[in-house]
Amino acid sequence: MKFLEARQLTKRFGGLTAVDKVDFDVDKGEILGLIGPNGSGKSTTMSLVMGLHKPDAGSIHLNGVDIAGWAPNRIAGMGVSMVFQHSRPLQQQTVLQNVLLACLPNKVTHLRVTDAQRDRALESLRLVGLGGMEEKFPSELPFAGLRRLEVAKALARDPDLLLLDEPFAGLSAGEVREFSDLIRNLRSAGRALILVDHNVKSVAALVDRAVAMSSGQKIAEGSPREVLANADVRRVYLGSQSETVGANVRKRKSEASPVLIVKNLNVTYGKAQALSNISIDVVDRGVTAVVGLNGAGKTSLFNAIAGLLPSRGEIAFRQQSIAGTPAHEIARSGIVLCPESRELFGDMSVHENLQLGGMHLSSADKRERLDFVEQIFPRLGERRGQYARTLSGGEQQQLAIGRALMMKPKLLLIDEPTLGLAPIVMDIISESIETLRKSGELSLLLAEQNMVFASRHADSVYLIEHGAIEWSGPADQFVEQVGGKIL
Amino acid sequence: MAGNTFSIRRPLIGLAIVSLATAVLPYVGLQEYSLSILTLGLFFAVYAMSWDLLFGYAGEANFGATFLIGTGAYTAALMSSNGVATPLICVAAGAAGAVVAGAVLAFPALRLRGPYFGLVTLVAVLIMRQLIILFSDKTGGEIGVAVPDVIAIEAATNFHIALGLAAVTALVLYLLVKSPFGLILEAIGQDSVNAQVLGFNIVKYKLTAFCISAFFSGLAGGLMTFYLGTASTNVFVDASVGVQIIIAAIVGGRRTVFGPILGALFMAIASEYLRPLGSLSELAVALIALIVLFFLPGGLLGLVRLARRPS
Amino acid sequence: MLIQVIVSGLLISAIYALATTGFTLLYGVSGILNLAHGTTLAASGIATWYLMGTAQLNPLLAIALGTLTGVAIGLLTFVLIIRPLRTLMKLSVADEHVFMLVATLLWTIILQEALSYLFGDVPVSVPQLVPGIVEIFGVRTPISSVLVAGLSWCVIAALWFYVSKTRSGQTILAASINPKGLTLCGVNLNAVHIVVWAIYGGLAGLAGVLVAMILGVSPSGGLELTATAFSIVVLGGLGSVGGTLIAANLIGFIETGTAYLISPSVRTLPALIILIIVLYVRPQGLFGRR
Repeated sequence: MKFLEARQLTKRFGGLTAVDKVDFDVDKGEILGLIGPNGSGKSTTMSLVMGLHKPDAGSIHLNGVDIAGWAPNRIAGMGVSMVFQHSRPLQQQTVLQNVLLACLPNKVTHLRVTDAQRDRALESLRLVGLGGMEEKFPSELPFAGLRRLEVAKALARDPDLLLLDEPFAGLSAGEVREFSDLIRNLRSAGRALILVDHNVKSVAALVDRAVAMSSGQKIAEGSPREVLANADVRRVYLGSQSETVGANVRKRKSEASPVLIVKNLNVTYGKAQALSNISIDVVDRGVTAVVGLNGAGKTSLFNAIAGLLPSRGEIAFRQQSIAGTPAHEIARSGIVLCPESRELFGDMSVHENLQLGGMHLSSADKRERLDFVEQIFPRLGERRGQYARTLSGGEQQQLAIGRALMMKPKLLLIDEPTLGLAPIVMDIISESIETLRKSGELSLLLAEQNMVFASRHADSVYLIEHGAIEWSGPADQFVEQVGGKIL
Repeated sequence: MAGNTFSIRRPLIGLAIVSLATAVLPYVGLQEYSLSILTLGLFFAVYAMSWDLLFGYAGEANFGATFLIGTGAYTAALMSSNGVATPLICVAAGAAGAVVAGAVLAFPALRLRGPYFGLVTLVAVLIMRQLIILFSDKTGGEIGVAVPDVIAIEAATNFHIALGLAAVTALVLYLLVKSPFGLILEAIGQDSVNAQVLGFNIVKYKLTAFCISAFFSGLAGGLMTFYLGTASTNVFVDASVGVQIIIAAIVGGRRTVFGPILGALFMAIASEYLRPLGSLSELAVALIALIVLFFLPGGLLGLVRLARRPS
Repeated sequence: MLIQVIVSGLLISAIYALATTGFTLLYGVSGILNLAHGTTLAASGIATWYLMGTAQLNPLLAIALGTLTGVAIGLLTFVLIIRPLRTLMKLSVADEHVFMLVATLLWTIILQEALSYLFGDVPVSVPQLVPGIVEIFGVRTPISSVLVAGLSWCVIAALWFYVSKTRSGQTILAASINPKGLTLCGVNLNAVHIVVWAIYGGLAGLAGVLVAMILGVSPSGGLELTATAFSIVVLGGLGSVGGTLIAANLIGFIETGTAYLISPSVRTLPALIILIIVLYVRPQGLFGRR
């Protein structure tokens, strides 16, 4: 019997099955990597183990005891700890007090800190490399220091099972190395670790075994090498090679000046630098792609361009600076974002969603536009009266793009158009992108983790890693020069 | 807490010095009228401190402070008027009654999320008020219950009782929030998910905090009943009195223990000076509280803290 | 007796339904529980009473101006309280809930005391529009009350039409479902909020005038009205308009029944107790989702 055994674990949120009959084990002394793209259900799986969500079905045996559905504090009492991706330490307390908190027993009558608890807190701080920072306040720590503080809190409880949620998110390359070493040191004979990450490469050297997830299901399991070589995993990350749509499009070098110029764009979340000095040019009436793994900064870039996120740097649309313009004005000026989360009006019909997209048009224009959208996505015409939230994932994606098109964009930003979609839907999206390109009325900027998909459609490609541009150039050179580096 | 003995000793010495200095006020020529204002202000300080244990630390807005205070006041008053016991026993029973009533109210209510806890506590006050009016043959309805006994007649003694109560409440609450219990409570208030993952049963901690808050509220309610000579709904069981308590705590400084004392005294004195304005005086006080809420989230005491610590 | 309870219950319920739809709408779109709701109702009622009585204005004009008072207070609440709180303080979602309640509570006191200062803290009633009495199933009912109930349901129907059939109404509905999505469609959310607060104020204003006609209002009675509205909305399920309408009828009947059978002074008691029980058993309300 393994230390932790999860069987047929299932979690539904409304109509969406976030985790679908997933099995996995971890033993003491082992590090398990739970990998998969955003929305694959890996973080939800971890939440189920910690008790932050109650599973709808399945069992989680810890040391032989079924803990499925227990409250988090009871599961914590069984020796499970979790490190959150976003830390919210007590700001009015010192670093030491923050860790002391984790050493305290769940007893309201415990009113004095014992020497043993204090020593344990100090030891944890030393282990994560925060020795000497005890009397500082969390606000005085750098971003990576806050992450260390969270690890120290989890360690102070001396857990038998330690869950780490995206421990490398937002860290620089150097910090990632330091953190990998730290995590490797946490493994001991008596402790099991589960590490959730979207980035296969960064955890491959660290974990003993990996479980890959996609759309809530386990798609592969084994050594990191086996998982990386698995065809399904490659398809999820790179896209299938079989699709032909768009492959023969002649990539052109546009002589016209770029429709959008981004220069030295910086975005920070609190202390985390999400984007540093990003510069890109968007081809006029062409397709430009920003590729990179999840968490690389693509969504931040798109949100910054759309005015949803404050940023520093220059953004010029058709030679006019739009930095600092409110989001709705940017949308009205012709830069329309179709976000990864789609942001549909779930309790309204397909038709009403499209109407809202075209609400600024005259009624004749709107009718003409509706026809145009329903021509590109015939499915939307068939489902006109249906509530948006009852559509399938692929239909929702079509509606999201359709609603954006209703606004007559001059520049359409599509964030992860193919994420989590079935191949057949991917073909529909591919065709629509080519139709739009041929129409010659707008420019497209795509964000994709599916490199093959992106390079097939794009005229020019930007590779973004850890919030910085790593490579840029024409699409045809992308796969040969960079493709191998990613997976 | 360990490692920070200085930061806990200094405020306590300060508390002792201020309490002693305040205690001599009756002997340096402060008049009875002024003393009576300060006495009421100190009772309010206890209410506000107790309220902030829940709001500032546990992160729950209790709109039913007067449910707890009223339970203490009416328990004490009804026992005394029926000749059941001596005043001190009545007061103790009031405090105990408030704890019991508080636990009965809070245990299910604390399981609710979002604004529901606040709503339930607000409704509890309205229900209690209606019940008092419904059974007015026993409770005196809107007029209230007269208390035959007194604990003390002299203004100075009453002032000292209130001062002692406020000082003891401040001491106990301060030690509590600086103890592991307080640390956990604050962690729960700021991020309850994280606190649960660290192994803490949040309902247990919040319930304990609620009972402590209820104890001091009920105790002060009972004592104030004997000071005033009656328990009536407009003083003890009134949502708008609850609002005054909230204002005092926020103006003084959320999450500071001592801040609410400042806030309560400020309100007592301010409403005295603003009395010529008539009903506009309460408006002015609410306006000040609103401005403090927007521009000084840490309140009057938070301002001092902010100046001392670089952030 | 029973028929009397039913007839008066229907009349009261209609007003309650109107008085709470605005409150629900506001919660649905902005996520705000406005504790100053009852005081907004009271202010409009008192304004109409003053304009009709002391200023001797034409009754219909006075009612219109009273409704406008509600609009003005709604907009003031947004501009002076809600927007500053959101822009001045960087609050977490949990804190925002608590601070929003506290801030609207302080605003309640400010409104209430301003009203007391201007008009005195006494209960006032707006005189009935039309004299005369009709018999409904043998119950003698003022024609004015029947008119008020009819008007309430008409306004609710108009609101439904507005939200589901007009472009502006659809925008508001969309804002309540997904504000970010609406921004992406090029809509200024701030403008939507202002429209919503104005509509809210209008609904509250008219409801306040009608409440003042049937039940009477006073500056310090505002908080109790808020509690009733709050009870209805929570009972029906926060943000569920249909649930609110049903709950309004439920509470209306229970209150009327209590007033007839026990005593008018405790008319709100059973409803409050039912509310507490519902909250413990089914916190999402009778008709709430999730």
